[in-house]
Amino acid sequence: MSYQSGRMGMAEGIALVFVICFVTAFIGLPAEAIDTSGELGWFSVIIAGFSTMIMLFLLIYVFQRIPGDLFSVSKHLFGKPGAYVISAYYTVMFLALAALWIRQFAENTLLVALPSVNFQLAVGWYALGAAFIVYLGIENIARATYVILPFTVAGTLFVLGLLEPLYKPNYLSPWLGKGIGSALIKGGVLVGANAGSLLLAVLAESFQNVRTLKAAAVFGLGGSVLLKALSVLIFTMVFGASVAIEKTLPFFDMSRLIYLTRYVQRIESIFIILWVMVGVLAIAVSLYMGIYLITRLVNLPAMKPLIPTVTILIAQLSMIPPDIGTVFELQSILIRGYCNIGIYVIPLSLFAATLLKEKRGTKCASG
Amino acid sequence: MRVRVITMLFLLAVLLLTTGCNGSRELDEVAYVLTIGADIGEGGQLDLTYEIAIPRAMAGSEAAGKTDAKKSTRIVTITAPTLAEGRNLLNSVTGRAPNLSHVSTFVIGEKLARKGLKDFLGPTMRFREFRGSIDMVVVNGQAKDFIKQNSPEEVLAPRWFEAMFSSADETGYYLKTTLHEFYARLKNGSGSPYTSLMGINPLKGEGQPSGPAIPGEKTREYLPKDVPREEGNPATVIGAAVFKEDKMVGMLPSEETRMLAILLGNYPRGFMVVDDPLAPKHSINVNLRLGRKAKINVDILDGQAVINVDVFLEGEFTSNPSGINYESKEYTSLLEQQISQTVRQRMLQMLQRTQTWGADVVDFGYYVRPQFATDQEFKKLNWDAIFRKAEFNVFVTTEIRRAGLQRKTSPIRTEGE
Repeated sequence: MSYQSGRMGMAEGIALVFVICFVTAFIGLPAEAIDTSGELGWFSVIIAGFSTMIMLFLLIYVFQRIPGDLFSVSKHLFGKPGAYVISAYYTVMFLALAALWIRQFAENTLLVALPSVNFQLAVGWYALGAAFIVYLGIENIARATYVILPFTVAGTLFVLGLLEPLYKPNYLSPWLGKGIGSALIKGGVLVGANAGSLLLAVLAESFQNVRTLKAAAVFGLGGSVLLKALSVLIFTMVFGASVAIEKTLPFFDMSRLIYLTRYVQRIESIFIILWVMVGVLAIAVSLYMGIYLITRLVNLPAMKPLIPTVTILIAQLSMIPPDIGTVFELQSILIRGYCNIGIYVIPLSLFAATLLKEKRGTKCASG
Repeated sequence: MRVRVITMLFLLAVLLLTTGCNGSRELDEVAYVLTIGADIGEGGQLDLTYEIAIPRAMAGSEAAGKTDAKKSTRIVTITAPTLAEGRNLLNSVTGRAPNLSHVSTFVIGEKLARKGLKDFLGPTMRFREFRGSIDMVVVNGQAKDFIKQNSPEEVLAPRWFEAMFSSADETGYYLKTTLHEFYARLKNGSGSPYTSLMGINPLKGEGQPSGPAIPGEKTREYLPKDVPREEGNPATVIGAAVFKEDKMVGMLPSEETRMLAILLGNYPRGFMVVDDPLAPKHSINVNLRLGRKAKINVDILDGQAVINVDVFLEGEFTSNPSGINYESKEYTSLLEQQISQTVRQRMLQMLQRTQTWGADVVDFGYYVRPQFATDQEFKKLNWDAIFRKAEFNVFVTTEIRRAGLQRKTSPIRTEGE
């Protein structure tokens, strides 16, 4: 297999973007959104999604003018050094996301399902599972993701629906939470939670045309953002902002509260399987993107030989933080800081360079 | 070909490594704790009473039907500084691995509840074996005595708690409260936590009502120890324990708890007995339910809150011994007024009592939240202080919809007629 990522359609694009963006709902995003924006946390998730969508459309505009993938387009606009810098940046971003997610999912598995499992073994299983999936190639990952997509959506809606007896709508008030300005600014900063959607730019060539890219952005990112916002909204209605910000695993805590009758209770174990599947797929997609970008960066003929090496390194990296508190801090730095460059600065630079180039081209033609 | 070989090797590895549940234990290696009682022990420690299931006693279809609650569980009381240390010591006592994931009820002794539950609640929200759906109750007395003396007909005593709470909607005399609801009220800016109140009744049949009756009302109100009864399981659930922050500040008897249930919109049905408006020596039974959720509106003007409560009850009268034709509209309205007046007075009594405790047990503050734009503004309000000085306007409307299976009442024949 070469580094060529294959050919994918609208369904695959939607599934990939959805899974890599939605995975944050199963870990810290809901509590973090409420912590930063109060009762308006759900709105900050929408703001973050909307901001990411705009940036994606700017990138799609670039790809409309200059066909290729992120590396080739960057090379075309900024030259080889620029392309290297941009690709290296995204490589670090995707691999860092993979490492943090491996660690968080391993920790969560220990926390809620398998407390006796050795920590290294849990990390190893997630890494091994992701590496195996990466080995099958992005087309297969995308199709597998597409298969579990309806179950993810239905499972999430099922949990949110069954909590209806515990909804307290006034917990969404004061309606402006920590203030509309705060929600807009903090929402804008939370875009890092959707950073995975930039895979559309990295794999732009594989999606064949701009229509596919637009559909993946609208339905994949849009769908995941809407479901995340709904989760945060219901999470707030059930726990209230003061309790919600305490939760490490919002979705798990919500599913544990379900008690309809003596016979319909304790159903969280069903959903553990769901978030493990989504987690492993999201880790696999991030890992794939990182390895793919390394392959492009150093112009290797194939990416498969890199899979074991990079996976081991990422698994080791994920075990470096001494405790989960440090992991949360690192994630915060990554999502609120580092990823913002990839979401705002680079797409805007590419867009501006394209416009500039077009203007110059028009001038030359008219001159 | 290589892919197939790798796939086969991977699947083989999975087969070899997933031969059983990781960390699994056989049933007879685990002590499944079903109920935890907590009291203040010596030296400020906790007296933790664990009710542990004995699966062997429940096994077998024949035995399952006959086993009584005492034989299907065993009770261990341990004095420890925290729940975690209690769990450690429990392991030394039972010889099995304690598992708290099946705990269905926390039974808190009154002394501990009055001292404060902050330290007790800490691990319950953080440790994975506890869940938000665990029921919380306060015992009017000691939790360990309650657990030991509770002798229900159910095979498992914890099933008794579950059955009690599932039938709470029959009267409104007690309310189911989960750990999640209790904790959410502790932290979310307004509303005081409450739990149902349990106690061991002396079974002497000498219990006295906990307060005077409201004019026009035949029903008397009780706390668990005061219910005049004899024989049977001495465990009694009636009333509510009210908290201010994490400390219990008072107890609401049965009728006031019912008023709380009405205001919380958690009153599906219940009998009320009132004086016959035209023949007060007779009583009329009315099966009441909420016609709609109580309309609550809070106006705040210059730091003074006016709380308007509009309750609409509908019901069916199920006895009419005086023979007065309450089935006809002209008389029905008299009965409706009688009920409305009684409920209103009882409700005001409950509200004034909780007001003196400074405990907004109805959570009127919940209705204030939408009036504020931001968290900062709401926090500045200091709802607890405002609640203490709030003025109540309670309106109760009752509509008698049905008259049971009799369309009218013929008088009892007397001599000479």
